[in-house]
Amino acid sequence: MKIQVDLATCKAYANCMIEAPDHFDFNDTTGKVMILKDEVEPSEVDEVKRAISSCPVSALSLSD
Amino acid sequence: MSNASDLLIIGGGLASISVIRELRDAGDKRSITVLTDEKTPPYDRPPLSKQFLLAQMDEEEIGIFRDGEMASLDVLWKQQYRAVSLDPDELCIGGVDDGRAEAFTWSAKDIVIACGARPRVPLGLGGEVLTLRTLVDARRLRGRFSEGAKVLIIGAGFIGLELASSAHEMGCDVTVVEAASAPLSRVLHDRVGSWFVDFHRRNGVDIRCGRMVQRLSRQGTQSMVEFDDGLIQTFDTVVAGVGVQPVTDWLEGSGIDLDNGIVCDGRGETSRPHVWALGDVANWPHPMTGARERVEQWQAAVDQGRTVAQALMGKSAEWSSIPYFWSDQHGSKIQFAGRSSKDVELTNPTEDTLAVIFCEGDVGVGIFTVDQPRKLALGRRLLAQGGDLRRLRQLLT
Repeated sequence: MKIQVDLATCKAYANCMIEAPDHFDFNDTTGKVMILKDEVEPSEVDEVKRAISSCPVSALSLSD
Repeated sequence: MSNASDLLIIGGGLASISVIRELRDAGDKRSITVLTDEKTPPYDRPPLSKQFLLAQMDEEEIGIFRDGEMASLDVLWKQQYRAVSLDPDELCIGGVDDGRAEAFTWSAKDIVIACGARPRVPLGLGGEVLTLRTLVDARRLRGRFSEGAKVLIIGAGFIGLELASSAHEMGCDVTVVEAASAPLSRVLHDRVGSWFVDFHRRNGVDIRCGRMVQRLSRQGTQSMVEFDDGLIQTFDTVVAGVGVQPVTDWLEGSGIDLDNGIVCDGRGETSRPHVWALGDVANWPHPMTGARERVEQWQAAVDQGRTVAQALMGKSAEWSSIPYFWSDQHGSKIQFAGRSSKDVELTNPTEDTLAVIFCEGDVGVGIFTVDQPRKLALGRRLLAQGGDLRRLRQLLT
């Protein structure tokens, strides 16, 4: 599965970074999310899904 | 008309949806019915005082469900179904289908109550005082916050301050009146509150603390307001953000414990088995202190929803995540994690940013930042790991 992000929607809450720090970080230069790894292994799906639903503006999604 | 489901959820907001998403994600296939008294599909509340009010997002965009998600969750969603009674022995809800003006009953193996809270209205003032909780309220305010309108906001909590920011951005002449000596005093420390007074004043909002509205009366299309210092002023629109109270009147005498909301254990179960509650209506043990609290946070609705779902599936569950909320005011990102305390350390306060550590002895228990999302995120992790004060100081300075 792959992480998709709508950067225009990202409002830098950084909730995703808290939930799944291996996949998400905060880019100080752009002030937006930085996707460290867009591929999600089956063992990582739960954590990444929590990160995605923790985004207050729904800027993240998962595709197959 | 009598009905039954495996799981019955009262309330169609974020908390309910969080429970459903967690169950379906885990592959749980039980039948789920949601009863909500609202007439619209579920929407997210935080944008109501911000992006929706400012017309940066429309009604479709604030919807909680992603495209196609509602259908894929396989939930029976009943709008305008208002619950009026609970029988915790029979596990049955009695209510009214407001669409058809018909009574109904609905039984289930588990009942989850997430019917939220309603705004308090300052009593005995007279005149017209608006509030903001629902989409209907927000649509009304969109019209009332017109360019040049004189707006009075009663209450400098998060709702009041966000409304003040939005109204100002919409071209209104905004005054905020707050009874306490500083804004946000219920949730934060006075020293943090006073930074907010300067912040809002710099951004063109007149904030008056230690001041109350004595009386209001309609004068044509306006409100004449008398303050407790004798000052009398006229406003076009008056909105109160003075807190909410849990919607529990329909549960009085039902047999479940009520005390500042529905009393629950750390998994969300009420005083009666198979009856659960979460979100703004529910009083849970605080994950950091164990003390009972009704936590009115978006993040709590999400996390408690996951906890209840896990418990419903018979898995061990306890709400343990660090409480977190955010607020957007005058384009600044305000964030808070953990809990507040009497002792605060303000690190490097400038006009534009602020970072605060709340401590108890030599442990950090909460952090508060303005426009420092990365530090807040890293700080949240430190709090979850025990709140090492030295490392928190290093992070925020």
